[in-house]
Amino acid sequence: MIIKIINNFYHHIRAILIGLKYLLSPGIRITLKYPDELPILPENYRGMLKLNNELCISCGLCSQICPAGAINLKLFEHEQTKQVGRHPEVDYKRCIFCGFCIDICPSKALELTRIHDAAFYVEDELYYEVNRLIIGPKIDPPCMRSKYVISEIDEVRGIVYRNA
Amino acid sequence: MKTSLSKQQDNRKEIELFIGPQHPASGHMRFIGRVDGDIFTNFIPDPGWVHRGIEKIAENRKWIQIIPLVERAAILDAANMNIGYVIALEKLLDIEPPPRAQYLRTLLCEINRITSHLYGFGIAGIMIGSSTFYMWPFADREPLIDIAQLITGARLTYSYMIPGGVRRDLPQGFKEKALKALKYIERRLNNDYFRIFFDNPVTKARYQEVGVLKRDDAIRLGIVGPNLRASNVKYDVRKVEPYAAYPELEFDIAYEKEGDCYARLLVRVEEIRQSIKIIRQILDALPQGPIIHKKYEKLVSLRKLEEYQKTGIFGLPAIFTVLRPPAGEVISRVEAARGELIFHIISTGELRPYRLRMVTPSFRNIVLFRELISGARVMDFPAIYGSIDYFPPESDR
Amino acid sequence: MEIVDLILNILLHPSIFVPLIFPGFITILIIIILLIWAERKVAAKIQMRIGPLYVTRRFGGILQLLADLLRYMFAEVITSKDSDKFIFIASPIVALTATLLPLAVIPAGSLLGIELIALRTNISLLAALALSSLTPIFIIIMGWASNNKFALMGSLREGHLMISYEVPLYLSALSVAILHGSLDIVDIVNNQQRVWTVLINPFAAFSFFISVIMSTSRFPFEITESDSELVAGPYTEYSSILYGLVMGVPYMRLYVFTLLFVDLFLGGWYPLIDGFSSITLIIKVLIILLFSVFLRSVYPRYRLDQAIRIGWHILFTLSLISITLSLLIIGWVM
Ligand code: SF4
Ligand code: SF4
Repeated sequence: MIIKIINNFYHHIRAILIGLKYLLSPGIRITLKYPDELPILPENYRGMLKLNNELCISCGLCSQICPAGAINLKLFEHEQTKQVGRHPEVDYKRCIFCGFCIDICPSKALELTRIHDAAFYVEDELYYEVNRLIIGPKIDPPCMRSKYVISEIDEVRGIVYRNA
Repeated sequence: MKTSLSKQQDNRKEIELFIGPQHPASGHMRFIGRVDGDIFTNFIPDPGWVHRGIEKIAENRKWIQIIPLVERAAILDAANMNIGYVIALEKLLDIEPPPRAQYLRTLLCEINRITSHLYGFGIAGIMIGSSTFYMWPFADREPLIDIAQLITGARLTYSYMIPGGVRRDLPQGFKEKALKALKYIERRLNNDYFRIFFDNPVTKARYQEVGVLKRDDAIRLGIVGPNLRASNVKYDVRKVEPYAAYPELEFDIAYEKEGDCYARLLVRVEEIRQSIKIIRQILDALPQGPIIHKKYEKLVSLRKLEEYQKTGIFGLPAIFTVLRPPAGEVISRVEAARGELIFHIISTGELRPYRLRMVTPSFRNIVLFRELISGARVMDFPAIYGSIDYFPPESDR
Repeated sequence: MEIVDLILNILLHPSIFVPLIFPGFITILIIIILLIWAERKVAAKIQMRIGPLYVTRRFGGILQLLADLLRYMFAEVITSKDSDKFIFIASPIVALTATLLPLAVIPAGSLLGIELIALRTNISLLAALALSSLTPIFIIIMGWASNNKFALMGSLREGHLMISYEVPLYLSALSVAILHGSLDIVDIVNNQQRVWTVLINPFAAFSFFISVIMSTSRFPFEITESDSELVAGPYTEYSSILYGLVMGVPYMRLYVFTLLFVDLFLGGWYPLIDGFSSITLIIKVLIILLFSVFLRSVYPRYRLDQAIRIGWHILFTLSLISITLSLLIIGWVM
């Protein structure tokens, strides 16, 4: 009985001490202040898509494999080169970023971008027509003070964010 | 299950309590309980609020398109859902992935097991009010999610395994990063977590001797996963029916004797330790070689093959859009983070499966609510809920 | 000028100054704003987060609560159809007032030569304790009037807890009175000029502090409004500014009790700073307050029956021990 009480007391103290330790030790935080700090994602991150229409052979495999039915093929004529072909359009309302379309594209016409912030002011902007897909996604920094950071795995702190 | 519960009964002593689906602790489901003073005299789970009809949708998808679909059952355990389906599909196609792919699959599955258990810890923590033990495991998933993201390119929805192998090889410098993350999580688990939560006398008071599941009951009810092993049953599909690279790896089955809430949490702690051990072994003994079955390697375009040899990213062969496995019926069993996951697939040799049956671990554990909470105190309900690590979307599919 | 003098005289008169400015209403408001902010920041620091930030970014989000209050202010007051409307709306307001009542008899040192006590009686300790036990009754009424099962269960819990913390609370406070031979808090504080009560009778201090934690539903005894099964306990049905009020009540109660705790056990306003003895007091109060909100990030909550057991088995025993100790010390000194 007495031993149990002492043991309990000891563990209460230990719990409070670990709390104090984290309270007083500086700079351990895992939160990324997202709109203020934009992470630079690793290479090969499966973000939004970009189309290189010169490479596209209009085979339609991307629209056949897409599990979400996000890709439609559209007849498209390039403004400058006047090249004509059936090229994919992506509906980001449906896309689940699985990356299947990129992997199956035989001519490497579809590319990954590392951008994943598919947030728009207007709903229609979520639909990427061919010409916008060729330009690829662009995001304006959401805040004035946004800056880019790189996250690194750290043995002591878990994750640290370095300014890029 | 008795459903007459919601009807008025003439026992004026009891009140009927509907917990959920809009309630801080119910998750995506509802519970109907009868309370007498501070005791639940009867407690019935009422699932189905996040039913998405995955099994039915699967009948309208091509074989390859089902991979992202089944992941959605339990998004924080995506790799284990994925491997279950892919193993079944490979049985139909009668192919065997090369050893390196097997190891990579196992690697991702174990990372996912850790993150999934950490998620469960967080929920268990907030259920009994420890906000720190809610935030800590959630924060500590982050390094592990980061390394999973390095392998697959996505944070949670990996869709990493394809029939015949995996989609990508490890990137450069992966091993060091992974080892760092493992070291971090090991230190946190063994020191900080125990000091603030598992050894905290309040936690012990809430968990010990609460919601005891006896060995016989656990077997009779068909409980799976850590909840089963906490009741002193050493059953783990990874040992019973080894798949992927598990036969070549060394690990122990985590189990506890007591069968109470505390034991269920400790089993998960031990499983995380075992997973860390497995990942270390994989990183040390990763065999060289291709990551995809040679039958498919030959089928991709030249440009893709070049890329594969250079960067290790394998493109899907075009045949995947018209994959027609031969007619047949297969069953696969894998050990997902919450327990045994079963896929039963019937193929008629068409573009789409005739029937896909998915028996998820949470679905088999749901009966625990009735068994353990009936007769428990009202405040034991969140403690027990947290300890069985039940995930409504996984159960509802 | 005479009018200004008059107003100043009225304002600085203890019976106005104490309830209104210090340690009364305005101080409480400031302290609550700071305290809730500190609670969230402390929890955030321990949990490797950032906490409130974007309201007054430069000062680390210190005005977050003010923004929240403003939002509460403009939200619609929803009273459910079957609730007892008059009681439902009146009880938070009465509870708030009742919480502040003990301040009338709790001394708070002196400021610029004004003794900060509104009402000096020779039984002020008893009066403070008696007045402080009014609030839980209104919390029970709140849950009852809401006509909601969760609120009702929360109220019942409050009732259960109340009987288990009040006895040790009063007994350990009385053991201090026995020790100092007076029921007047001013006398008790003056008696501690050389040595604080907590050093003479640590058992009393311990059981008093734990009872305070229990009575103000801090962790690990946040059982009344335990959100994982009762949503928000007795406060479930409250919305908008009424919710703001009921959420403020436990914090005000905590403040009042901490003031009492410092007076009884930590030597009140000693060591003196000439003319500003209240500052010593308020610093001690802040430290104790911070510690009690810090506990949130360490503990889960106990189960109801366990808390009641702690109240009757441990705290009650400790308070009896502390009374015995006080009697022994008095006997030994005499
Ligand atoms: S990433 Fe996946 S879902 Fe999105 S368009 Fe490509 S195949 Fe379709
Ligand atoms: S983007 Fe690629 S897969 Fe799609 S039509 Fe063009 S070449 Fe074919």
